[in-house]
Amino acid sequence: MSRTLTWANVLVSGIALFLACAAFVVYSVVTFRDMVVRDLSVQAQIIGTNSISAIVFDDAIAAGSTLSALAAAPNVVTAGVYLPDGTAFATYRTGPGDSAATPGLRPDEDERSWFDGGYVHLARAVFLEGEPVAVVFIQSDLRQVNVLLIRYLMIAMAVLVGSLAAALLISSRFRRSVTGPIIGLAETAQIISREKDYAVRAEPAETEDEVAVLVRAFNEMLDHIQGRDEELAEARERLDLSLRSAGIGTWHLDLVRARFLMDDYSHPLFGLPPGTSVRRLEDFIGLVHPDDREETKRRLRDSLAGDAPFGMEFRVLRGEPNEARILSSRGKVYKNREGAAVAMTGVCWDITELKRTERAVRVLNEELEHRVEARTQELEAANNELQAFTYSVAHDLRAPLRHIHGFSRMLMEEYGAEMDDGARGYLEDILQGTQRMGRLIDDLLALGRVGRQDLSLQLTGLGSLVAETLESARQEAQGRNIEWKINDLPFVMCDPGLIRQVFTNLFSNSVKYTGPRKHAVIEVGQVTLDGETAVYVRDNGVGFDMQYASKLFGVFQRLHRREDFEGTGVGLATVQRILLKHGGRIWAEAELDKGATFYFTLKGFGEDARPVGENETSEVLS
Amino acid sequence: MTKGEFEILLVEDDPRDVKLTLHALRAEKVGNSVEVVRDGAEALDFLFRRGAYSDRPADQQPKLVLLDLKLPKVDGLEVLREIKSNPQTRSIPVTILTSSTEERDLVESYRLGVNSYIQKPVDFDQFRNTVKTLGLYWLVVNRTSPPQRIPDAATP
Repeated sequence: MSRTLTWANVLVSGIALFLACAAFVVYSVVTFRDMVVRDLSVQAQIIGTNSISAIVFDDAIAAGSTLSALAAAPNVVTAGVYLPDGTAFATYRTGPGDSAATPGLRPDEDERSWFDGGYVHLARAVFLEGEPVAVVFIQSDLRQVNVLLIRYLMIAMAVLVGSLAAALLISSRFRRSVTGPIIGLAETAQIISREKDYAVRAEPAETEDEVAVLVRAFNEMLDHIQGRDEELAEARERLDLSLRSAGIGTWHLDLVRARFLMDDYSHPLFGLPPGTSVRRLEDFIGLVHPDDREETKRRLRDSLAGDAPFGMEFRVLRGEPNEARILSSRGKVYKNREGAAVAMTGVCWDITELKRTERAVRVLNEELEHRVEARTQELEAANNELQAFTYSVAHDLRAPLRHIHGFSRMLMEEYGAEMDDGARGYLEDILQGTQRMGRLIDDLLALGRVGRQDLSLQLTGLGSLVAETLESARQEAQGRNIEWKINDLPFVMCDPGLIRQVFTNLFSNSVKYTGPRKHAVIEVGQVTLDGETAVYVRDNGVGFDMQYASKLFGVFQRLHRREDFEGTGVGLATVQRILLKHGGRIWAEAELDKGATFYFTLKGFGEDARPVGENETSEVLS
Repeated sequence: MTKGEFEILLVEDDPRDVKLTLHALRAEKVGNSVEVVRDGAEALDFLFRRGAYSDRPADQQPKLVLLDLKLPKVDGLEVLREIKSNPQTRSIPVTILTSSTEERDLVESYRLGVNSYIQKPVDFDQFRNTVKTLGLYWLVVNRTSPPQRIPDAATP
């Protein structure tokens, strides 16, 4: 580049100088010739004037001497005076000259000059009283002119060479300050493009000119590129890590160059050894399971033709021939300005395990549903059986029991008098047995009903339930001295029919176990225990040993002998079931021979629970 | 019992229950005459004078029907439905006398218009008391509407 610049410099100044010298030389030549012609003209005039008398007197010798004066002009080769008819009157000769040359002046011409064969010729008419009497002809060589010309040429050459040398010198000086940084810049650019090393920088210029700005801008550009390069490298690393960790392969379809590219992560997905080249779309399609090829092609075509992104799942055959893996692929289409698809980039990953798991989950779900359905059916069947059973118990077991009791009673009434005490005793046992069994059946049926029945919840004043229950309890306790203490009870969301049964059973219990007391006290009320509202039924009856408290609520569990207290062992179990169904619970505190207290809670206590007066009823609020 | 006057129609398939019920009615001196039919179909034949009972006088309907639920051929609820949906028999008081304590039977019976529903107690003494109360109430205390004289043609 610097050489080009130097040569351009030299060439430009060379041409300028050459043109200047050439103009100078041409001008000199023209000037010299004019000068020579003028000199010759003057000489011809002098000779002509001096020769007139000689011509008039036809004195050739005098004319010759006049001509010989031309010896003072060394460049004159020949000269002569010619009469109008062309005959030579007198001649002069110093050198060889062009002897053939003749004046050849036309009659209307005064003077003529011409250059011919290295000589200059001049012919001048001589006039006497307006009439041409002779022609002076002078032939001169151009030696003197040529010497001068050569001298001028030499000067021009010297100037040319000198100028060129100066130009060279100056341009090489400039080269250091101007082209030096540019060359440095060029070399830096070359290194960068060769080694892709964006860390190198161009040497800053010492001067503050456009070149320095250029170098600075170039270095700044390199800073940007290096920054981008690092970011790009980091991003690529992250992407690489993601792709590798997730087992995602990428592919690229270049429609312009009709090429297909696949990255290294794709190969294992398709069961290909690393580095296998898949360069054409057809090769890629060939990797897809035969049954899915058409669909894959169709989807690719659709995506390339339309705006929808590419996305599908397809099987590939890899490894073992029967090991079909399922891949999922997504792609994006790139279009040119005209809207035609030019490329498509996509990713694919293995979803075989996912699919397998999905399938397994689905199968499990279905199995589970089947199992639930089967169990539900079994349960329903069992439930139906149970209902049929209870219905049967209610109907078919009670009937014979009724008959036994009825006929035994009739036997006793009609034939009792004919029997002895022993027979009557047995009959009495039969009657009692059937009575007990009747009660047992009724209690069990009630317990079963609690389980089957749906709760019909309504805001209920427990006080009014107690009042209703008290009637039957008092009837049961006829003839006994019982003091009933009824305290305030809350309103609560519950099934009133069932909770009434709770009070009925608890009161019946208290009445039964206060049997031995001359003065029985049965109390009902509410307490707050650990922030929880509980209703209690307390009596001063025979109580029980707390170590058996856990057996209290089990079906058929009894803590007293039948001779002491009659009972089926189902009542408290029913109570517990009712309370559990309400989301509540029941427990008891007792001391043997000191009485017992039964506590129960209901889920409906809580915000709805608040104490109300005994005489208030639910109607007040509803 | 073709004698004419009777007060109670007992619909009961079990002979022992018939025996016990009749014994209780006699013992408590309730119901001077009791007609017994052994299944639902016979009960309907009797009440609507069909089949074997087609020559029964039209103006002799029972003052009380004691109806068991579990009956052969036509069950008690069906008999109840027939009685209560026919204008000729609708006014006859019907008492269900059964072993069943099933709530759905109870609900269905009242839906069909039963006049009272009694579960037969196991205790025979209680049963006798119940029968006595029942008879006293329906045959003595309660006043029923006079038997409707509706011609057969009006039967829907």
